[in-house]
Amino acid sequence: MLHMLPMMLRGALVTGEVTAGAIVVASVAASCAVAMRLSTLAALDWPARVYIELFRGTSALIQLFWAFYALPLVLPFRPSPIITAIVVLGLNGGAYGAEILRGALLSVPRGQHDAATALNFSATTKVFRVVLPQAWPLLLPPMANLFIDMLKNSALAGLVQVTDITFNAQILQESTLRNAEVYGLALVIYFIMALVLAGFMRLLERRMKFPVGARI
Amino acid sequence: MNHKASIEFANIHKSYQRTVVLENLNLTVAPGEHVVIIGPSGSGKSTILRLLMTLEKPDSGEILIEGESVWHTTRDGRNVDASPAHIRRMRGKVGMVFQHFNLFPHLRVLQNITEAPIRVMGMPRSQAVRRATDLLDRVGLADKAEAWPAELSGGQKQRVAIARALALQPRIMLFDEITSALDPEIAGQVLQLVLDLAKQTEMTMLFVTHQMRFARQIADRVLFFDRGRIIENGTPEQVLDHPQQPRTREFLNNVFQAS
Repeated sequence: MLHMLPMMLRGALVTGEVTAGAIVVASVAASCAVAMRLSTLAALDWPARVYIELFRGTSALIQLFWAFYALPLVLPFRPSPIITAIVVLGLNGGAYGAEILRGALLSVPRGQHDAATALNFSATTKVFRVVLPQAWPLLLPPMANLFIDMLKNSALAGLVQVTDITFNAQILQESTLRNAEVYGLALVIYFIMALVLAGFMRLLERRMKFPVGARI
Repeated sequence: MNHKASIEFANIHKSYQRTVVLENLNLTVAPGEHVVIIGPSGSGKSTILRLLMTLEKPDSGEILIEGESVWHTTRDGRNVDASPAHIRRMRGKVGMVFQHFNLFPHLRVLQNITEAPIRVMGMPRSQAVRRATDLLDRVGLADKAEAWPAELSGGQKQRVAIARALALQPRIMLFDEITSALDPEIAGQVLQLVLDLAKQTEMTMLFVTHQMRFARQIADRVLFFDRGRIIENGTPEQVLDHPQQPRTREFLNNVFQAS
């Protein structure tokens, strides 16, 4: 089994790249979508709603296939498989992330907004010093779930020629026919990566150390 | 001599969906005056304060602070909607203390007070900390500077909220049922603090309260408010001891019976 390890670890590196890239794309997409959703302008709200429903309502695998096989027909260039995977999985995660973020932001009590206004905070100060710091602790646990989900969903990238854990596992399986070892190893690597990601998110959570949940 | 009113409401109308909260409200408050607004729940009392704090916008009418309209300015001789910068400048003249304190739970007590002077007034941190420490001393909580709001009692939270509002040195202070969430003994202490404050400063103050004894002690003028209208308007003796309107008498009877 040891001889499989280098190839699987190379795959793990690619899986890490796809997941990290997708998480960045998802965070940006979710933030933009929520800013648009919470805007009072219908012209901003509607495109964000369409984005969220479209990506939540269709299969990630089909989105990936469509972006990989159909989109290049209308694009003047052909993005690399890994870029395609990062963007599509990122947008998919962003649609779920947007709803998580929106829920967390809306759960900051109205009194906090009132206090920020009464203290004459600018809109930016209000968002960054009052609303977001209070939304963080509510945001992180479901976001950790989402990011771990995205790590596992990144296996779909193997189906569009991204040489990740799943892709390399399939090659090894075909060449060695040792199903139990190959897929067992893949499971263990995914599990360790998920543990690392969860640990990182817990670390972030611990940094938000103000006494959460107490009525103010 | 031109004495500008501190606050002026002219023909203010405010409704939420179909419920009329304020109907053609006219009210003038002189500089330094202490006005107490009493009345049944849901009568629109708090809305007056929320409108002044610009937490709500009137449907029609004009609110003037020190002679200047909050929501409108004149451009080329025409009345136009005021810019956000103008509204913020007007808002800077007013401070507010809320029923449920609304302290920022993620900031320590001292930061709750220094945040606005630093970020809104651009005050250097060291000066803001000095001012906040003085204010905490004044409200009797000098030893709580590093505490989290969740570690304080209700009365202590409200004292911090008062200090926080004072840190911006507003010219008008609004107190919205500030003791309704406190038990009577603690409420008494907070009200005493406000009474002392009222004596020491020249701020214009508006109070919404159900504490009649406090109203009598602090008010230059008492307004009885019901269903979006001022029913009675006079000195504490006139309104609380010799109400002219049956509705005021009924309300006061109920309140005094309850206490």
